[in-house]
Parts: sequence; structure tokens; C-alpha cells
Amino acid sequence: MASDEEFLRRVYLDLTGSIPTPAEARAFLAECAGERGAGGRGPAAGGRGSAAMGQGLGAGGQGSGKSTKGAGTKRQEGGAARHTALPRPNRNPYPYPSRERLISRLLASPDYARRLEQAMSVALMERRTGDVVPTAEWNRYLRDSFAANKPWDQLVREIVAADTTDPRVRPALRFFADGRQGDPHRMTQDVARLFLGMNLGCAQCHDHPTVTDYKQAHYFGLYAYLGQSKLHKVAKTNETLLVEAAPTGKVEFASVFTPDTKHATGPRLLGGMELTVPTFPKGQEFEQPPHDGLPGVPKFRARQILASDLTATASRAFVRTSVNRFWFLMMGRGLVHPLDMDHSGNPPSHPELLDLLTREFATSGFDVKRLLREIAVSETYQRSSRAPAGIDVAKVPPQSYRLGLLKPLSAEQLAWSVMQATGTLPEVMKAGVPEKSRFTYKDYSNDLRAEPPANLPDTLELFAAVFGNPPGEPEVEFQPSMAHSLFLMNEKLVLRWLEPRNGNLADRLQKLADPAALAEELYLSVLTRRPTAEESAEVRAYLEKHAQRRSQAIGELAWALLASAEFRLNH
Amino acid sequence: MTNGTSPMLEPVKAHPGKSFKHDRQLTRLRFSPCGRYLFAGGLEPLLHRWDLETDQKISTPGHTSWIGGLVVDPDPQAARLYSADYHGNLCGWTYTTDGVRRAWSVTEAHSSWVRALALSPDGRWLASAGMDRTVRLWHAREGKPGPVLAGHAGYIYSAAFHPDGKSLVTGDLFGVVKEWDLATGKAVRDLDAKRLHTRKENFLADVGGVRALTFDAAGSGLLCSGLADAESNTFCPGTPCALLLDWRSGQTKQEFRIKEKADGFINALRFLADGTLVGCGEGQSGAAVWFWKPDQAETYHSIPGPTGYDLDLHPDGRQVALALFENRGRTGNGRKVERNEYVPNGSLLRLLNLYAKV
Amino acid sequence: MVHTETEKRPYECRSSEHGFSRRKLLGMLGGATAGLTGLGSLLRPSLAAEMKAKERQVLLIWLDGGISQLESWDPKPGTEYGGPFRAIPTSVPGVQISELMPHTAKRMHQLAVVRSMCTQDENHSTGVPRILRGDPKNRGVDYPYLGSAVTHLTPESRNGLPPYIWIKPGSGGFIYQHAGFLGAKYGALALGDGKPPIHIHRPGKITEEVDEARNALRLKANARFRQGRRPSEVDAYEYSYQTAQQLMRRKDLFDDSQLAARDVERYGTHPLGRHLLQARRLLEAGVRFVQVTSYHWDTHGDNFNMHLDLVPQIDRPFAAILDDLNDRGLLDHVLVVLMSEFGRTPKINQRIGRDHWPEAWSLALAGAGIKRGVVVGKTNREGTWVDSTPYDVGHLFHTVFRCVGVDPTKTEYVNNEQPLPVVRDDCPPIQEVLA
Repeated sequence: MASDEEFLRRVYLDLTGSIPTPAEARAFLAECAGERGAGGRGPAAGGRGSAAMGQGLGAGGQGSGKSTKGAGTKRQEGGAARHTALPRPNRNPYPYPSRERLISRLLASPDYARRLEQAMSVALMERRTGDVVPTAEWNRYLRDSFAANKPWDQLVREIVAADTTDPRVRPALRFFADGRQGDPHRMTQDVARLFLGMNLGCAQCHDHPTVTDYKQAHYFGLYAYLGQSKLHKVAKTNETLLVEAAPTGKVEFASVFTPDTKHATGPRLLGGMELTVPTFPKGQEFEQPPHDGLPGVPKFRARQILASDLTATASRAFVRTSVNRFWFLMMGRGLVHPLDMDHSGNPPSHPELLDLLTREFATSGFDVKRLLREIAVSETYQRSSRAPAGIDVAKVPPQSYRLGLLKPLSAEQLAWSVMQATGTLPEVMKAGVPEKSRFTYKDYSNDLRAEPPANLPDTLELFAAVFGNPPGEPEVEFQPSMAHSLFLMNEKLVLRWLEPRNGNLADRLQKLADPAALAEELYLSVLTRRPTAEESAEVRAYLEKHAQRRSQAIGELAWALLASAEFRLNH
Repeated sequence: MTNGTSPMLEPVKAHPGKSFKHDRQLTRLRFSPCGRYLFAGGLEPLLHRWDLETDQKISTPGHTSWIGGLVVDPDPQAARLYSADYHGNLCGWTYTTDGVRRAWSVTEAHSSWVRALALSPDGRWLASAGMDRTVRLWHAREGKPGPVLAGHAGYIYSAAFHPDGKSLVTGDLFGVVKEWDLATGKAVRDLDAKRLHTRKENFLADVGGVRALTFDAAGSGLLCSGLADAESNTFCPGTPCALLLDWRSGQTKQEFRIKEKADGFINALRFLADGTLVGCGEGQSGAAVWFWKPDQAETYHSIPGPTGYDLDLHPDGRQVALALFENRGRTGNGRKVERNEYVPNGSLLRLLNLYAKV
Repeated sequence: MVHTETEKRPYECRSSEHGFSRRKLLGMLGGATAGLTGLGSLLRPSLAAEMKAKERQVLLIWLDGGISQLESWDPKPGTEYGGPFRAIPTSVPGVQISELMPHTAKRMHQLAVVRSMCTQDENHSTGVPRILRGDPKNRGVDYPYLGSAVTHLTPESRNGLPPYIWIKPGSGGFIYQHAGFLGAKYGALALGDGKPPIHIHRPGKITEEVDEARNALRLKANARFRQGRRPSEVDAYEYSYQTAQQLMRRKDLFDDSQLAARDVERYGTHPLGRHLLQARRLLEAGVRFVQVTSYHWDTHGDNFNMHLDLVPQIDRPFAAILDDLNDRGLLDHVLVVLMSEFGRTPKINQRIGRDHWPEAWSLALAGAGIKRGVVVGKTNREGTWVDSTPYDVGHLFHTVFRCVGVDPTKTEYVNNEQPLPVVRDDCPPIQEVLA
């Protein structure tokens, strides 16, 4: 099991997108200590627990009734009885009330909504931007949705429907309009990838060459829902809509290998029934005919049908890939992995568990908080990333989850955590944000603008530009680059944050005369743990060696921790 | 030139007269002083003459590259003209009703393209200039070399003799107009037309240049035309622009622009007898023949059409001839073009009567 | 991840957790594919190929917008579309190129010029990425640009320098987009006007001594963290620091004051001159793939005046870098490609410009794996159409990959469990240019 410190850092990063403040860390560790008696660093610290590893993941077990609290379940069709029977990903043999309380607190905090907004924005938009829906509106839409614990099926339904003028929901349009430019093929590919867990890219031209489950007919069955959609700018209001044209029957397709053999399909979800596209007499296709520069609203709107059918409880692939993606968010690896390769040739590592979570997610009414909570309280989640002595890590396959996986911090987690660690977050958050920022990473990185960003959005843009993937490339794996290291080594903003001022980390440290106290404050602030004796001695030695330049030396000690793998990874 | 029976100049009522098609782009155009012939040359090594009485065309070889300069002796008795090409060759010609005959030629008179020819008012001196940055004077009748005038830093695009016959002006890529004293062969002064040159940091080359120079009849004003504020060195978009310089002071008296949205060069300009101006240039906006009043920046009238590469005023002063671009076959960016449809673009020579239709 | 057709690899190999072993594996697999080497029977194929491929570098000179083939490699003087420029003889008897390239003409015996390029795209926005990606068939993924592809498919160099450096006018930065599905790691380090990224510069108050001290602390922290944990993430992170530090150590590569005045004069002080000289230094230092881009060759207006000024800007430094690579013995190891996304229309438009013409255009190759002093393919008398076997980008990519020791018929990418050909499978290489 992970130590309390390990767990603390991990769960903060996963549920709030940042490491905790040293005060929060101290409070939690004290709570844990009080609960278990002084000195307990975590039950598995001594090397126990290997016997429990790999046992019965998802094999069922007694859930804790407490888990419903704070989970904000709005749609409990499943009923309480069923709920209490929910088995955990793995029964936690060491249920710590302090850990469960922390999980509840974090899920209820506003930081949770921001974390999910950031993580889901990256997952759904893959850092693509556009100008139909402003970034800020999209972010607010996601944040409000997660703050209210909007059921996931509803959120996805809104995204796929993308047909409302309700200002609270309209930003959902960004997924298709800005992320896919309203192109039906890109929309098809990404609906398949992100909401069905299937990368059907190559099935556009022929059946998948290696995945027997992925047929060209699947691709076009899905495409038939979206092929009539296109962006339309209403001249009068300058507003862009994703409109649907009147149906024109089945979609024809042919494999590039057998171009003469034509096939046709109506809208059809994988494994489902093909919809019959109704035909209307000319002039009667529209529920609301075109008028005033507004396009007509057809009687048959395939995308709207997709929005509800795709997200239905019965849409197994949707529920399953949704669970898989939230599991990935918490665990660093999907039960089905790669996330968009759900097919019979690539079975989940733990099929029963995935089935169970899938059923439960649907019956809970797609309650995201509850799902994340269930994962967070599990033993599987709370396992240490460090193998006990005598265990060869190379022999523990990652898909066994027997060791906690090392997950890279996202650009947003990293920005937040560096500011949190250096004690500069309050100052940056306080800084005024101009109506229209003049900061661009391009100018900054080309030395056309000397001043580093001073406010939160600009700072986040800087980190996203350095640590984020290029638009359209999913962020799944740890891909450290020279650019990241050069940035941490030489970026003046980061180095400035390490200089003492106004009660920031360096300021607090330099006021601590005792090297041991200094080491503790340093490690707790940056790495969310207390130093070992060796580390404390190292701090002492470094300070002694650089006694003449103590303030800078403190900055260097803090930098080394910020630049370490332990900080860069969520472990 | 005008008499009681001729309708008055009224460019707003201008209407087309004769026109001739040609299968290559023509970029240089001059009337004979008798008004009967129209000489032209362009992107091919031929000199053409259209007889406006018979509509007959004769094409005469003698050049080895594109025609970069064309000038006609203003004396009808002399019946001479001169042409120059992109290989630096110069030719002197005589013409009769029977045709055009080469009187002399100088091979590689310049080491590079000749872009401008000018003839002194008395027809004795021919000036040639171009990409080798030199101005060369020739005894026009014999083709014998005279002084070489050096001093331009940029390619030379244009040349004109002052009506008093005492000085020559030449204009270059950098918007520098040099005045040369013909008596001494020395550069007297630089006039500033730098507005017609642009070099931005991201350009690979200088863009613009004084593409045409024209004096008014009295010699008190000098028109320089071209392109201002170029936006790139690729499409060469920018503001079509002409400057009227006060000859005495060298100061810009008036800047001329196009009222409609337009970009590209003003390729040629002439003063009309009433002191107003006619010009032509790139027809990106659909208009390519423009009219200005001498004291107004914007055109007061324009005529739609494709790009006009050159124009000349008929000796009667009431019609202009234009060398216009003519699109032939599919043009623009190419892919999957029918091979047999692929032919060079051409020209339309059009006469324009600058008065109301009777 | 690359594998041969016969060798199915599990997905895990693609994840960066195998950063190091994966790269070694790449070299070996590249070798297994390069059964072309004559030593193949003596050395283990992997080793032979590694030796062969390691030496290979690429210089791609990209004249963005499209140099006119008629004003460069394929002059047609005296024809209806030929323009006013003359053709001049070259060092290869019987071969003429435009008079705008007198210096290059003297080095024609080192070049292979392809005059029969015939490609699919007449637009820049689509043409540039399409060509730089090798015009792959649509497989629902973004293919890597040539630079990313080559650095991915060839073994890692030992010099620790970034393998893919892109010298361009304007701004620089880390251009991840070029990597496509290969992932950010294979993106280009772009030097804006030859300048390195700002973060290569250590702020003044951090001395070298301090930098060493703080990095020593970092390494100790990593060593502690590594205990009992999967090493691959830590290794990959450490590697990113090593590369960064190596680049910081090689700041001399970006220091213009160290350039010989004679070189500056030979290459020219315009951007292409400076950037090609910079490229020579990077190639000498062992950078695997250097791209030099020059923008604004898209002469829709005033084509002839512009080419008069533009072509000399490539002629001189191109000749200079050929000389320098040759003198240093590097021309046997460095493949040089000089090209645009298409040529220009024979037809002259109303602005006396030339438009985009993918139907018949030219490019030049030199160096590693390339036959010297050959002209491949021809256009018809007027230069409007290809009059021999037309070559598309796929042919070019096959050729480039062969020259760097990768057999594209036996090498595949694997993206998300999907095997993907590294280049179109329906084109052979341009055999006539292969040495």
C-alpha cells in the first residue's frame, strides 16, 4: 500500500490537479497519525502486502456504505440496495477513514471541478482550438458541469447534439465545431475513438487490416449519423451552428481494395440495428423550413438520434469506454489499453472488473464523482508505486496494477504544482487579468517579449505550450522532451519563483535556522513528504557548503526537487 | 490638335474603338507620330506593327528575347523607331507603308535586360537603361554609342527626356530618379520617389521600382508610377501609386491612388491635353484604366478591364491605345489541365476614344 | 515503433517507458531491414545496418512557395513559356541549367537533378504538409514530416544533439506538429533565423558551477526515487536533461562570431546564406536531419524580376555547401535535397507571374546514396508536361529512405497497434538517381 504521503500527493493531483500545500499535508498526515497511532507511515511501507497483490481484482467484495456520501447521486435508478452491493475495484483491506474523508473533501472542493475541466478538455479537444466557441466559455461549461456532477451521459449527449442556443449548454458545440471543424469524417473518427473506444480511422477506406472487429461498415454506420452535419454561419447574428441537412437515404461506400463492390448503410451503431432513413416528399423534409437566413430543421435528424442512442445505458461500448477513460485518468493506464482499441483481440486486463464498473456506472446514472470515488478508495488505487524489497519491478507487468503506475503530470497539473510548491500560487492567482492578453508563447520563446507571464491564464498558456502535446495528439504517455528540461533549468519565471519574497517557499525556508526543519518544510512543500534522514543530511551538507550564499543555495535545493522525476511524475 | 469639329475630351464618356487580339502578352506599345501605326512588343522576340487603316499586322524578327523598350521618333518625316530586348540588344528601325526595316542593331548593348528606352525631343539621342544599372546614350539615327551614365544602385526601369531636351531622368528599383545633364553627362540630382520601393524584413527581394516616367508638356511636372507599400515579394500586392514631382523643387506635389480596391503596379501614365491624367495597370479589382485630375489623389473615373501593361496617346490627343492582358485557356494554379487547352496568355490591343460617342 | 513484417510487437513497445531499449531496438530493426548492405552476410545484419545508417545525415533545403523550374533546373529558353533567361552549360557535358545558377552549374557533376516530378497538390496549405509527409494515403492519422520520420527510423546518434533541427526565418521553438503520430519527441527544434531557443541560455546568475551543483542534487534525488520503481520513466526524464545539457554545451554551434569571414562571404549574408552556413555547422556536429527553409518563393507576381534576385540567393550558398561537404568528406554521408512543394506554371499570368504547377517540376539531390552528375527525366519542348516516367512524392520518399539506410518495403510504423507503411507502397524509388 502507498504510504499516507504517497497517497496524499497522488489523490490531490488526481482529484484537484495540484499537490497540496504544506499545511494541508501536515493536517492530513496528523489526522492519519492520530488514527493509527504515531509513527505509522502506511501499512505497506514495511514490505507487506505482496501477498494481496494480484488477487481478485474485481472479484467482488463488500463495499462500504459510506461511499455514497458526497457522491451527489441524482439518478439512483439502481437503488440503494444495489449500490451498497457495489464491489470495489479491489476490496481495500486497510480502510482508512482519514483517506476516505480526504477523498470526499477533495471531490467536494471547487478544485475538483477545475481538475476535471482541465483533464477532460485535454482529452476531448486534444489541445485543438478554434474560434466558434471561446476557450473560456468551453472551460466554464465543463467546470460547471463537473461542479454540478452532471451525469456523464448527459454531458456527452449535449456534446454530440450540439444544437442548442441555451448559453449554458451552447459551448458544447466546441467539440465538433472547433475540435473537428464540423467535418463529418473527423467527427465520425473522434466519436468512435473517444466515446466508443474504437479507432476506426483506417476503416474509412477498408476493413481494419489487423483488427477483425473493425469493419468499414461500422465506420459508415456511424458516419451515416453525422454525414449530414455541417457548420453554418448565420449571417444576421454571426453565430455558427452545426446544422443538419435533410436526409438523403443510405450512405454508399466501397473498400479501396474492391472499389466496384458498393455497399450502403443507414445510421447504425456497432452491434445495433440499422435505422431506416425515412423519405419525405420534396418540400416536406423539414419540421421547420429554412427562413430568415436560418437553415431548415429536418424532420429526421440523425445526429440528434445519435446523441441519445450513443449515450443510452444500453450503449455498452459507450459506457465501457467512459469507465475505461476515467479509470485511465486515475490509474494511468486503461483496463482496455490503448484507450481507443477496444476489440476482441485486445481484451481488458481485468474483464470482470470492467464489466462490473460499466454496469455500475450506468445504474448509478453516470455519476462521475461516485465512479472516481470508488476507484480512489480502492486498494488498487492506493497501492505504492515502489516495489517492496525482493520484488523485481521488471516482472510486474503494468497491466497488473500490482504497483502504482508512474503518470506524467499534465501541463496544467505541473503549472499548478510548481506554483503551489514554490508558494507563488496565491500571488499569481491574485494578479489581475487584462481583458485581452498580449502574451503569446511564440513571442516569448522567440525573445520578442522579455517579461514572463504574470497572471494565471498566461502562466497556464506558457506551461501548456511547453508541456502539452501538439493539437490533435492525445496525451496518454510520458513523453519528456529537451524542451521541458531546458524550460525547468533556465526559465526565468521558474527561477524567479525560487527567489525569496512575500512568504513564498524560499522566504519561509530562509527563515528556518535549523537545517532539519528547513529540510522538512522543503520536502513537504515540494514533494509532499518528509525527508529521509539521508535527504535531511544532504540538505544540511549543501547548506553548510554554501553557507556564504545560503539564499541561493536554498533555491538550488528547491530547484533540484522541482526538476526531479519524483516531482514530474504522479507516483 | 483639337479643332472645331472634334468632340471635346470627355474621359467619363470614353468608349472603345478598334481592338486587335494577339497570342502573346504585349507589354510595350507606341503610336507612330502620323497616328496610322501602332507598334508593340512583349513577351516574345518580335516587333509588331498594326496598320490602323488596313487592320493589317506585320511582325518583324530581329530580337532574341522579350521586348523591354520601345520608342518612336516624334518626327513623322524621320519614320523611325527603336526597340531593345532582355538580352541587351538594341535595334533601330525605319518604317514605310510597305513595312518595317531594321536600320541598325547593337548586340548586347547592355549586359542584361534593357527595361527602358527614351528618345530626345529632337530625335537625336536614344537612351537605354536596364538591369545592369547603367544608362547608355546612342546617336539614334546611326546606332553609334555615346556616353555611358553610371550611378544607379538599383535596376533601372524607366527613362524620359525633359521636353527642353537638356536633361534625362531615369528611375530605379529603389525609387531613386536621377537627373542627368546631357551636356556634361553627369548626374545632377536625385529625385525622391522612394515611396515606390518597399523592402520589409521578411522579403527576399526589393519590390517595386519607378516603373514609368512621364513629363507634362511644359516640363514642370514629372510623373513617376509604380507600387507603394508592397506587402510581399511574391504576389507583389500593394497600393498602385503615382507621384507627381515638381520639377523645379523635386518635391512631391501630388500622390495618385485608385479609388477602388486595387493592388499591383500602375504600369503607364500620360497627361491629356486638358491637364488630366490617364493611366493603366494591374486589373486585380476589375478596373485597369484610370483617370485622375491633377490635384486629386483619387481617380475620378475608371474603366473595367484586365491588366493594362502599357498605353500610348494618339497624336490627336483624343484616343489612347492600351495593351491589355487577355486570358487564354485555363490559367492560374494548375493541375489536371487539358494539354491541348494549354496555350500562352495573350493580349488585347484596344483603342479607347476619350470623348462621348457621337 | 518500427518493426518488420515478420515481427509483431506488442503495443507496450511503443510507450515511451522503453525509451532507451526501444531506441537500440530501432537501430537493430533498421538493420534487419537493411539487407542491402554487401556486408550483410559477414556482419550481423543489425550491426551492419547500424554502421551504415549511423553515418547518414540529411540536409533538406526547402524553397517554400515553389521555385520556378524554368528559371532554375529546367530552362526552356526561346520557347513560348521560357522567359527571358538563358541556359548555360554545366560541368556535365550536354546538361544546361538557368543562367541564374552559374555557381551551381559548375557543381553539376555532383548533383542528380530530377526534371520529371509530377505531384498531386497545387495548394500550399495542403501541398506543403502533404509533400513533407510523403503524401501518405489517408489512414486517419497524421503522418510525420520527413525530418521526424528519418530521425525515428534511423538509430540514435551518440552526439546527444537534437536529431532534427529546422532552420527557418522568423520564429523558432519546438515544433511538435512535425512528428505527427510519432509523438512530440520526434518534433523539430526550430531555430528562428538560426537562433537557438531562449531556454538554451542559462540566466547569468546561475554559473556553471551552480548548474553542476543543482543538477548533482537532482540526479541524487532521481537515484533515490528510482529505487524499487520502474526505471523507464526516470530514464526518459533523465535523457531529456542530458539532451538539453548537451545542447547547452554546444552553444558554439549558434555563435556567429566564430564563423570565418571567408565562409560568410562565400555563403552570403542573406538568410539562405546564413542558414546554410549554420546547417553546415550542424551537419558537421552530427545532427541527423537539418532542414533549411526559405519562404516567399511563391512568385505569382513579377516572377522574372523576383527570380532574378531570388535564385542567386540559393545558387551561391548551395554551391558553397556542396563544396564544403565535399571537402570534408561529408558528401558521402549527407544526403542533400533541394526542393519546393511544386514548380511554377509555364504559362505567364497577368501579373507577369507564374502560378503553382505540380504537373512538371524539378528538384535536385546530392550526396549519400545518390549518383553524381545525372539528370533524370525530361519535360516536353515547352516544359509544360513530363515526357518521361513521372515521379511523385512517394517515389522521392522511397529514394530518401534508401539513401539513409532504411528499406521502406520492409519497415513499418506501428501506431496504436495499427501497422502503417512508412511511405506509400505503390511507388518504387527513383532508381536512376541511386548510386
